[in-house]
Amino acid sequence: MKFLTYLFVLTSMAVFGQVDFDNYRFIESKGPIPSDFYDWSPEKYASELVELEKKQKEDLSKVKDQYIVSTSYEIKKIMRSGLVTYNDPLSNYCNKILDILLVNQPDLRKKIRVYILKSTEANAFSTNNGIIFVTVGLLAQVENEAQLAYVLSHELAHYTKGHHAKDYILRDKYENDKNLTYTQKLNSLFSYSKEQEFEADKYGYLNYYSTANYASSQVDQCFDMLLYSHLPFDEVEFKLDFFNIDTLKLPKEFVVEKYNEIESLENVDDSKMTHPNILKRRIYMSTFLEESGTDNGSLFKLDKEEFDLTQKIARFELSHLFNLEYEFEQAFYNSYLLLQKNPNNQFLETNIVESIYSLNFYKNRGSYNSAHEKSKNIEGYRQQVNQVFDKIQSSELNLTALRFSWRLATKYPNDDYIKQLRDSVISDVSKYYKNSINNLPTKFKNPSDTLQASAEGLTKTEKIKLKRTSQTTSTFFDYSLVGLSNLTDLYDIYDKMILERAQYANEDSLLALKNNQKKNKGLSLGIKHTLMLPPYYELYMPNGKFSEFIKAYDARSKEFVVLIDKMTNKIGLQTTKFSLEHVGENDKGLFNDFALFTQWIIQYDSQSEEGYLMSSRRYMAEIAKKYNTPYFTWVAVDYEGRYAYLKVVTLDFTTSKVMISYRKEISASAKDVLKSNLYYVFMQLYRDKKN
Amino acid sequence: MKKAILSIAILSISLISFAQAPGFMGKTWAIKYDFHIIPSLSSFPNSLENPNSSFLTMFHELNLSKDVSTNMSIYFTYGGSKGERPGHILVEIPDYQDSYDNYSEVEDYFHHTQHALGFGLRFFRSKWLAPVGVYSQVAVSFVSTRAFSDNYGAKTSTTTIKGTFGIGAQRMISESFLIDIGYSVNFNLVSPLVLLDDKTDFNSTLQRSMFLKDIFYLKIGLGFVF
Repeated sequence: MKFLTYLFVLTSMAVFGQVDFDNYRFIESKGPIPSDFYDWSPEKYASELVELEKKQKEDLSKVKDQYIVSTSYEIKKIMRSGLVTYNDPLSNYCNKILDILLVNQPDLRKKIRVYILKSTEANAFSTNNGIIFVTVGLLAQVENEAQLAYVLSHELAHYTKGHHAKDYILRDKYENDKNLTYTQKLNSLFSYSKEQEFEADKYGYLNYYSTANYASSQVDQCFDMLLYSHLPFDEVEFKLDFFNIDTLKLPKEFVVEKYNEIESLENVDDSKMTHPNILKRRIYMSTFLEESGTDNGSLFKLDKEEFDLTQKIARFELSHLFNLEYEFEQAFYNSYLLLQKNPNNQFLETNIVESIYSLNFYKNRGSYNSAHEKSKNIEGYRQQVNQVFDKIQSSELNLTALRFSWRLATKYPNDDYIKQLRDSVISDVSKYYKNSINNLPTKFKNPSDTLQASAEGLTKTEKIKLKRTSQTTSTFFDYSLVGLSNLTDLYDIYDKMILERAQYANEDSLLALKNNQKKNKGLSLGIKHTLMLPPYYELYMPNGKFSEFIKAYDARSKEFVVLIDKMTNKIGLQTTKFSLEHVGENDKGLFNDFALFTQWIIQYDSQSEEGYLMSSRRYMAEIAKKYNTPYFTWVAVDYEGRYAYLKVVTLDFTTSKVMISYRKEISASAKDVLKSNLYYVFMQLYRDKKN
Repeated sequence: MKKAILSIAILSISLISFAQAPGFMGKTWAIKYDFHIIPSLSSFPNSLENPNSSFLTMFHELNLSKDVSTNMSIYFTYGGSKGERPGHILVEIPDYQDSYDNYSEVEDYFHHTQHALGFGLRFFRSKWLAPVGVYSQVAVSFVSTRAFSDNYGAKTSTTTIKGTFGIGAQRMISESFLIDIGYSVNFNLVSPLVLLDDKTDFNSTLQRSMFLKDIFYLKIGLGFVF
């Protein structure tokens, strides 16, 4: 999709107010929800069209309908992804910088909105209707306020110059040009896109950045920051002591002997890229920077402390986001870096254990490659982290996960999620060691004590053999649990998890059996209250006028929502809808819950292995308690021509157990069929279980 | 026969009692009027010129159905029709000596009245939910037919068991009303002859006529679900 132009940025942010990092959770949106999150009405498209026509001089007549609809459709997907926040410390900081950049252009300022996108990638992009998205990854990387100001200036330029629409027109033109080959079309588009980037660099610098008197030296620094933004936010050596305890020292093969060189991609071949390489941008901008003369501009116009705070929040956020994005080693290293200055931080320590648990989970199931990245591909000090996870054997990783999770649960005994994490690890370990704790090749005592005790009555040569065995690499992990407290409880939890696993497997097969047996009668789940996201109503674009399509889409979507309400009311099924249109100013928590929930769904949807305790489940028990139900229902209908597909899924989001998964092909024009299917599936949820 | 009826009745009651069918938004009963058109397959006798009787016979049916699962409904029907059919009557020739040949075959129209009481099952295809969607049906009916000829004073009655296989589709046109369109193949399972007048073989011609004529039913129905 193409409503954006990408530029990347620098580091840091700031915020007012205090953030309690000792009890850090996640960045939360505050106040009334902006209409960008829920208003996708035909009227809004119409007004955007008028705006576009005013701004755009090129001939848009052929594609304007498609352009508005398709870009709005993509923006809508981002806005309801649960990954976008508003009026939070990060976006507020960006907004303050925009206030400075546009102090002399109040009309333009009114049109621009900044939202934070919870992504680890360092990026920013703008849309045709004045939204600028800034990622958490970018805010974790920028080194000062000026660098962030430059990125925002660049994005402002994309908006004011209407680059996105121009790009769309050109794309349409090339696509319909039968005289061009596919490669020629691509090359033309890439070439044009690069021209736009140069223009945005220049226009943003001259019209916003330099007029606000930010330090011109930071433009070049900003390019450096972007060049290395794929690396962690800091370069600090990872010490293996992090894994070591008195009885366990990682052997030599775990140590990186020679770190990979950090390559500069400054002059990378950009012929197949939308952006010019950094070297070209530097050279292009150097002319204007030289013309600016002496650099009297500022690194900070706002309070530096505010920047530091913003940056710290972004970096904290990042360590959780990496786990959400299945980048476990990145999450590990990111948390490690932050722990250096924030020791004993529960949020970070939990992230570390989540990473180890996740790596162990996937290694136990033979899909380690999907979770682990080989150290030979890593640059910088993070390579050491990946080296450890390269070398570690399954049994060793199981014991390491057990040690870290046990220690964390002992340290924070009142945290339910940490307990879940520990239990999940124990469940995995018990499975790996074939359900008997006696199979664990571990000792719970100091090796010297063990040797002392076991050496009694042995001959000299036997004692020497025993001592040598305890020193070999292959057995050093045997002592990984030495020194942990409350180990007697481990036996109980171990047995409990074995039982739970067996019960779960049993329940699963029972459910399948019931499904088969009751194929014609359906299930009786006894669920009286469920949470619900706004239903997804997808209508594929038909041929014809797009403005008509959008009206039909709007009407059908609304009708669908009404229909679901009607069915649930008729049955008596209570629903709490995370429907953004209905969130008032007094429901401040609801938007954040919606965001958490959507993150959970995205992660649930993308997980490749069943039974994984997803990091997005961290706050799910809290939500279940708040809304007094652990159930969540998702309803969607995809229309494609004559056919439509109804999908209804209900899950227990505290355990990720699927309660019902109902999928049916229905005739696209058949409202009665839709009604009867919705009624049927809600009835199965609601009606009481039979004894 | 009694055992069969009893078994069907018990089966029906148990299905109704224990099944938890969704029906249409919780409405599992439907009462429906079906209008059947039965195109004739039998040819009209040449000697009968331009008769007033219709080439098509109409059959009216009242239908009470209950959805017993997501894909099955059971139903009871009561229906009837009135009409005329072509046929042959053997008429006694007075003073004819040979006892074997003292009957003459004549052609005439018989007026007939038919009543049918039946029980059936509808099976909806898996992508649909009863009572909405495409279905196949199977039914058994007890059909009583009375017929007479004005011109010759002959009259008779038959009782048969009719089997029906059909397909159709039901769709809701509002929250409470449905329409049903379909066709069915019908055949007589039993055809006892009851002679009311020993001077005719009226019944056999009536049977032939019905057998040829009452095979294909085209149907359109309007129902109320509750």
